[in-house]
Amino acid sequence: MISHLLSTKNLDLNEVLEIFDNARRFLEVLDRPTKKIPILKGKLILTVFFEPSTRTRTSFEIAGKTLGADVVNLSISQSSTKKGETIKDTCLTLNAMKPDCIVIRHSVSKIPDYITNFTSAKIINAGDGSNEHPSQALLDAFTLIQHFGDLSGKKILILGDVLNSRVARSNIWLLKKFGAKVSLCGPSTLVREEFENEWDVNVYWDLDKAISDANAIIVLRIQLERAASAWIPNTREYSIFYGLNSKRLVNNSSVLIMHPGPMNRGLEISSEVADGDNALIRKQVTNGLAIRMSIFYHLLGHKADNIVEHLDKNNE
Amino acid sequence: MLKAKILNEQEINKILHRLMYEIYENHKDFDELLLVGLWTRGVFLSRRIAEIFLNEKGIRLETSELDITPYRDDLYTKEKIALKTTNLISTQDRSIIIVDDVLFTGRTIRGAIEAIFDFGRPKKIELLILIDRGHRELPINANYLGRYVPTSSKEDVNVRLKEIDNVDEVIILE
Amino acid sequence: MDKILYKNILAYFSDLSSKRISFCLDSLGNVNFLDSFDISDYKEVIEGEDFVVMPLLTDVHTHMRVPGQEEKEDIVSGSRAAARGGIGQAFTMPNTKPVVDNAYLVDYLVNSVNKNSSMKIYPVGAVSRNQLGEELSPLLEMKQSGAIAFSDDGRPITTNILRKALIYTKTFDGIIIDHPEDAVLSDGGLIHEGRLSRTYGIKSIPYTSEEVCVARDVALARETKSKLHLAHLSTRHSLKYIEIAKEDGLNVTSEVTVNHLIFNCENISIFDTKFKVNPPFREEEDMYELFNALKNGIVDIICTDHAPHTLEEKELDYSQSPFGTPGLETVFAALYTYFVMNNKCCLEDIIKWMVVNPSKIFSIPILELQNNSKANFFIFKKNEEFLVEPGMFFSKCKLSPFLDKKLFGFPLATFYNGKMIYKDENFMKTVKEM
Repeated sequence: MISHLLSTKNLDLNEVLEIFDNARRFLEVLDRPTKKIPILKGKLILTVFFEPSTRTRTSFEIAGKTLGADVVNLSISQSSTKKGETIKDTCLTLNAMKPDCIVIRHSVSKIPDYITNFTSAKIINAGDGSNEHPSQALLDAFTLIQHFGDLSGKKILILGDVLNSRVARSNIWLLKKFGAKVSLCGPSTLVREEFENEWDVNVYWDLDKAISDANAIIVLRIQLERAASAWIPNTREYSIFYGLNSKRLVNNSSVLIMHPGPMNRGLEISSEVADGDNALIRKQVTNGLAIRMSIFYHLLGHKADNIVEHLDKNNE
Repeated sequence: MLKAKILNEQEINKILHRLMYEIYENHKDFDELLLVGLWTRGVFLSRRIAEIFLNEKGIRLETSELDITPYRDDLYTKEKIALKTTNLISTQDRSIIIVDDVLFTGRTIRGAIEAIFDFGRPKKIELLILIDRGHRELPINANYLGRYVPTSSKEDVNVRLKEIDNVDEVIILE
Repeated sequence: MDKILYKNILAYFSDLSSKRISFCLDSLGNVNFLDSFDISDYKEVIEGEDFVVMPLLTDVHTHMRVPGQEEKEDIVSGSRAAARGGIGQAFTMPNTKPVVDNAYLVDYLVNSVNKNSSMKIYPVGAVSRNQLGEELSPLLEMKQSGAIAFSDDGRPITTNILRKALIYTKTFDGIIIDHPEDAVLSDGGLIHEGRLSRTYGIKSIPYTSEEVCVARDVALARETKSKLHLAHLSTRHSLKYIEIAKEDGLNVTSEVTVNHLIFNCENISIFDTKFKVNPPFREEEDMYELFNALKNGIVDIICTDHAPHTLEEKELDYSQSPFGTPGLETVFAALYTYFVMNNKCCLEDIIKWMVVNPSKIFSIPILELQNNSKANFFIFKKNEEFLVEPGMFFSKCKLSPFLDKKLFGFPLATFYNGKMIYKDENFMKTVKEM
């Protein structure tokens, strides 16, 4: 069983199903008048965000608190890192405060893996560069299973800036474990043709074609603040050719719509579609809470492993 | 290793009937009564008792299921436990009867009481147990008891119910 | 040191011949070949089938980090590391703090080296002031003070400066060494652009960053007809330009690091900073084709690009850690283990790539075993295995990509100009360690 949640690539399908089963139980808790159970009472969870985020961090915070844990949020600006304190030192310092779990988001791929060397806490990757965002993929797959029951053979389209998307990558690795057929669509700079062979997915540069072949669409945010801007001329062009609106869905009106948020309404997705009957976006948020509770329970709610040993090896 | 069979199907049935009458004797307002069955076999026992109430007295009792895993005091000494469903909505002002198959140290019931308080302020909480095997570690006792079976700590009491074990019986294992 | 007899030892020479030879080494470091000898004259006799004497190697690309970065390496640690690697001559790059872009600093280096170095270190001067690519450095003055060649290594030479420098070096028949990288294409990249960078969403350096620059450099070398040396090639796509350049008789030469012949992006952990280098390790096919190019004479030289950093720098995460890995001490053992022992090449090839060609191209002497001369050679033993571990390094940087690997062919003793500059403790036991 995993000790940390760093990626979906290495997850065992049985573990995922376990996490989903418990998530269903945690959904029940969210409907009660007293939204709290003491299952992680006394556990200390630190959220350490080197990259700003409100939604994901709040989701983890509420999930931890609902389970009775103590949650402390740290926002570490990247400039203070450049001023001298290395990630290693930050983690060694945090580790000395004896957290049970650290939820980390960073702008560089694989940093969560790197910090496992400097702390005995369980690590949850809340997003590392363009590499992975495993809790998002888990809640996305959970949401899809709520609707489809089984994902084997289901056609899931990921639409948008796949090149720079950790949500896309985590989803691709996980959905394929379930036997889903994954397609990608976007401009050829953001959805590279090499993805087809390297990741065993279908690549479409034509949105209409991609939609006609989909049971569900995960719409990605065009990240203006990140690298996407270098690879497309402007957002207007993107919106015309790859924006999802009702007209595009005329021939496939039953396709389910998802979005990890936050949405650029009118850019990658129209309000009509985002608020339409087939949109599962609100559900994703609620499921996100339950999934994150289940992830905390999966990593923390049992006998501790002996992780202390490997930490000592690194400290002379 | 099977040591002894304590109860067979008929004996269990007679006990459940007797317990139903004990409850009937002790309560006036059956709308306020709520049977809370603890997973796994407590749930089935609570349903059986409700059915007996319906058949014998025409009274429809409300039952619900409670998973006390989140309230266990030994979570961190064990491997991960899968959660089960809980469909309790509210215990506010209800007269609760916790239903479980075996009463041993009393810790499970303590957890159940804590859980019940998380769903509201109950008017009253009582406990219905099929088998009390002794060895209490907390000051907890059944209000409605099927049978007291003293055991040694090396033994184990297994309640088997048709709903899940294909047979109704209570046995002692060593 | 009393007289030592080397009895019937297999020796290789720069004319690519080899033969068993007996010679004696006296207390002044003189070598005398012997036809006959009386063992009782000698304090110690070195004999054995497996011993091999080699000419001293030349490493045309190292970073000794002097002046200003002595926490990473200094002349003493760097030259001892070179000695341990069987290297008698090494070039050191000017991307230091301050940059070696004037004659005073070249002069300082030459004197510092003469005082403190076990072997010969040649300073490479910066082509442009501060390596900024805007103004030419005083190349003539630096050449006079002892600069062996010129480079802005660490970064590519700007097009403007490169053309001017190539024309200016004609005055003294100088050589420009370019680090072929297109900074716009490589922009912040950390690893080779390919399957792994796409899978992990990491900023990457496409091979075209090197190819585009190699094409530019060759075109300018063709126009100016001057001497150009291309540093640390990493991709097979650069080779076609060099091949045509050679066919057309241009003075274009090039080098590959030993590491780029052994490692590629799939056989290393890309997140281990010991393997973080620029240019990055690319694909398996690049490795093979670069090696073939060496064998075919399209690429001329093997070097190390020895680039030591402090432990603190290398223990940063892979995105923050500086590029570069040490290599002086392991270059010969790596080549011997991975290539000679696997019959992919022979010792004569290594002599070509690390002794003869550097000498031809840069007009420096060949240092090898010669009768009635000061001793210049290193000796190793076939089949003697070493476990590479941090304690064995003289370099201040112990984070070799070969750590925990077993290599054969480490030099057991190295002699430069009659002085024993390195000796393994289990070899020539009668001789005290330096």
